[in-house]
Amino acid sequence: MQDYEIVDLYWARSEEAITQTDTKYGHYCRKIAANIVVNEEDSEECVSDTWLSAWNTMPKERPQLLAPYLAAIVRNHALTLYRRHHSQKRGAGETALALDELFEVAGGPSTEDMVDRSLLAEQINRFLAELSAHDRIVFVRRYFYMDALADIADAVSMSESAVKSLLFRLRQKLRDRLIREGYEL
Amino acid sequence: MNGNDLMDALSGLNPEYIDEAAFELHGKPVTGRRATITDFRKGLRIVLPIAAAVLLTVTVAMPAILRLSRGDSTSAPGPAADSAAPSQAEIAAGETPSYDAAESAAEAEPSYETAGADAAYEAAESAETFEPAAKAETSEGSRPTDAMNDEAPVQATWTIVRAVCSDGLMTLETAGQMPADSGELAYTILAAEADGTETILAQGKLEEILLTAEPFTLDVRTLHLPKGIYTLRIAEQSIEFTVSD
Repeated sequence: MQDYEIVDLYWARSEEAITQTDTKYGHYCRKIAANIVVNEEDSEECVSDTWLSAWNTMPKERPQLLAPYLAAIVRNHALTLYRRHHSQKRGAGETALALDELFEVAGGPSTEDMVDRSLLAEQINRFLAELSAHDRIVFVRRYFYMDALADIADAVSMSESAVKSLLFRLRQKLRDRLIREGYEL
Repeated sequence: MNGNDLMDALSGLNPEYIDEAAFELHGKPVTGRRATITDFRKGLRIVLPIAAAVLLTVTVAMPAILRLSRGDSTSAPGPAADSAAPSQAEIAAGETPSYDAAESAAEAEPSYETAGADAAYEAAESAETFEPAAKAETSEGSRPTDAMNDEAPVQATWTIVRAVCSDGLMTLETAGQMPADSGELAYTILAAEADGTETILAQGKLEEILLTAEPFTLDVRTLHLPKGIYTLRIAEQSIEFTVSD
């Protein structure tokens, strides 16, 4: 079933929407959740919360691409669950490592302002738009999908050390850009 | 701002970028070395079957085609090609192949080659020397005349190979079987003139000048031929001879 047909089911308040979403994107969303929370029970909880969030936001929202829309929702649920379980502790796992790497970019006080986060997302998008598709995929797989370095290296046919070096260079570029844009890092 | 802010802000990424990197949905990107390997493997899948087909054609089909075009010289002849071979019916019936009948049939119809070979064997035992006319040695005593070359080829069973004249006695070396009534053959002796014409010095029947049949000797003493080169013509055969004394 096409994405617009599934969205139409949400807008029609048909419970078939959830079934179709789970059929088409269930595996995808579980993978994202498992990368962050690791625990299978927690990842199923994240996916269930995602279907609920989708049901609650559509109608009103009518995403063109359903997969990224669901991916962002499940990622947020997974990060919330991760922080609940780990509080301020970073812990082990790829999420902790990825967070550490992002803290290399910005280590200042956290901002609770949603508008600032929205503007920050816009800056990151502009930064990614300037990258090649290859570099952008590596960055997104690491910091959005929380993939392990070895998995990224295998997917893009690079060595792990080459991926590590590439991510380091990209973080430095992002930092330089944010500084140029006036962000206090 | 810190890492947590960045991590949360990344949820607001452009949906196209999120979708671009969705390996779970679109498969892993084929880039760089993987693309090269994939393309190479694709190429192999195309090239290998073609190479195998070409190899099969060259090693199996071509020799067979060549054998057929050459007339099948290496293959065994079929039964129909050999009339002496027992028929398929005889073999199938378990009968004794009729080899005896085949042999007698062959004996009843001797081939031309066999007949020629027999004659050659018999002639070889005689004092006369048989040589193919084409390989005849040219000696001082005789040489083929131009008349032989000018005339249309005549199917003759015998040819004059050499004529040697000494003291008025001309000995002829012939090839092939001379007719039994050779004495009835007409002869002519000619002399070449300076202007290229020929003068008939003598003519008649061989029996008039034939001295002995073996060796085939003609007596031309009565002609008193002076020193020179002459032509002897017997039937359609011609030969030059020299009188040196």
